[in-house]
Amino acid sequence: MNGLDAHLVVQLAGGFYLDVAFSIAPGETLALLGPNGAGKSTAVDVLAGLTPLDDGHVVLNNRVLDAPADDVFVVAEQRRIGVVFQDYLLFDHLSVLENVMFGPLALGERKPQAKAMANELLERLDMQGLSSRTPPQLSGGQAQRVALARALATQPDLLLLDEALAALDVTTRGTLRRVLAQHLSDFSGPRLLITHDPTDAFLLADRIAIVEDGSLSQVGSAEDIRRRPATPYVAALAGTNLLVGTNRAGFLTLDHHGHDLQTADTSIDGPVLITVHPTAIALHRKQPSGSPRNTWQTRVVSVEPLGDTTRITLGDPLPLGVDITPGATAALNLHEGAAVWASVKATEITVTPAAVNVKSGRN
Amino acid sequence: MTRRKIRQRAPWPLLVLGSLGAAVFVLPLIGLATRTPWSRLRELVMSDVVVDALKLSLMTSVLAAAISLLLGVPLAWLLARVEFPGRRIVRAIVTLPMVLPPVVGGAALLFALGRRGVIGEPINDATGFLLPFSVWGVVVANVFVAMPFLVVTVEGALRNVDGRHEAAAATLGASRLTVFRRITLPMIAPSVRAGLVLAWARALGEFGATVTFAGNLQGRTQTLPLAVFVALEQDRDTAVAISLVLVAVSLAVLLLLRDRWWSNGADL
Repeated sequence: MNGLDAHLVVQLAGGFYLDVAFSIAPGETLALLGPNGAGKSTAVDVLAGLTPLDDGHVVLNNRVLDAPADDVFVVAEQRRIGVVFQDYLLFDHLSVLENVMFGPLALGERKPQAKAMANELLERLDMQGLSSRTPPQLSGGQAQRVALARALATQPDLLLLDEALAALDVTTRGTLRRVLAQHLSDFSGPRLLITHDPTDAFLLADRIAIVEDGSLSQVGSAEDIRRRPATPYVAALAGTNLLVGTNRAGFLTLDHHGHDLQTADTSIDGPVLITVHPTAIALHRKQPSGSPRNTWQTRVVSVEPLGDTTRITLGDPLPLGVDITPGATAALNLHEGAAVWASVKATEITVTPAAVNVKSGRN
Repeated sequence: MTRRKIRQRAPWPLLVLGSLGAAVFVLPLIGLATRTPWSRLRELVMSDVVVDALKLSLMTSVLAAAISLLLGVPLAWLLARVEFPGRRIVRAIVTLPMVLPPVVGGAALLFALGRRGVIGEPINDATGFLLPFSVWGVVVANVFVAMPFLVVTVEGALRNVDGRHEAAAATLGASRLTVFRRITLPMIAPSVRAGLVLAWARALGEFGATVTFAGNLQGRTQTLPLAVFVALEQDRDTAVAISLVLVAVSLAVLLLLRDRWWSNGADL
């Protein structure tokens, strides 16, 4: 099969195993989503060939890269896996152009060709003006793009992004997520995004695999995961409600839903991603007093007990997840099909700048 | 407006002890200066013995530093990066010349590379080449005592290098040699330069191994330190003059290189 087929089994520090299996088709982005310390960085190392597997296999485009049972191990420099590392790991003693040329040259490309390739990539990433700078002179976002260009310059069979947005501050993340989404779709091979940030996973990936304590607790589309979280952790992770819309001085027009909201954040105008935490939404049997804009009537689509909380999924006009206590669920007599009023404070609705073309409408 | 500087007084115990420490180095220099026959200095320094020794010392120390660089950096890499049986013993042997009396080292070199030595004898039989009592003998003795300083410095730097950059280079398709050449070496360059200066300085001052292994032939194996020793017995003024030349050359190089090469970015 073309694409990546991986079953990673590695003994981790602290006595537990990383044991995850997944495959990625060419042109597909899979996000490996999990908390820090779940074994995600080990997954990067074994895929890139920096650490050997204890068991399992890594097969890329029908080429076996690591299979302990058959005593196969292909070293990192022969794997053709492009990695964008968490802290980018750019070579500070080389210029931006030389950083991008490094891969082609190492693979035996002649200097003029390597230079032409590097220049073309930098141009595609809007970095052509910075090619003579050195990495310490770059901003976080620029360094990320150089790291991406450097990885793509080797024409890899798999693109691996390790917490590619984690090192950036919140304000640039939104913009760079959009840039990244665009460049990911330019790469035709399988793409693996390693992240602890649900927003990155939900917006950039086609499928999400959730790692918990070294094993996969759920694999599916963002929709699957949000609708049917397999564990409390996944529920909490997927809990954040994401909407896409436009902000005009605090008035939010939603792209896919016939209901408007109001946010206290008037700093960003234009296309935005809107997040509403499930615990920020209050449910009532009768119409509550307060801002009429952030209060609406709806129906309960599902009621799922998840340990300490109950996940209520609301139907039209805004399909949102709401987490309330089992006590409140009982007190409000919530069940499938029950009519309820929902309200949320304008201060609880956060917005970040969004692209026009990100994957949207996941709610 | 000029910036105000905060003047902080050094705590007196540090001041007293530190000053005493500095005195250890300054006092001998003062001693040397008071005994210098300043009026005859030019004539003494320009004498054949001194000029020959100076030329030889500069040539052999630079050559020894270069050879130390060529062999020492790969050796440091092996010690830092390759796990092999007996690595600890090899590391101990490599650093042995730093603690061994150089005379012992010279004698050991003689037993290995001399006319009757385990390696020296077959080489002499086959080619007629004899290492001891030649300029190359001086260089070998210098390398023997000087290279450990470079190896220790570079190995320490290699251990401190963040291996992630090398890993990144490997994922880009670079072989281990390419990674070493294009990533590791530039990253440890300041330490390599520092090690090189240390090795050169050690080679310039080398006495015991040289005199044992290479002898004391003026114009061939008599370096500055050897010339000083001989002169001390015969002509104290010449000894002082040569010493002053050594001090001047060493100080000039150290001052120059410390600013340019050795700083590691910090002001030393």
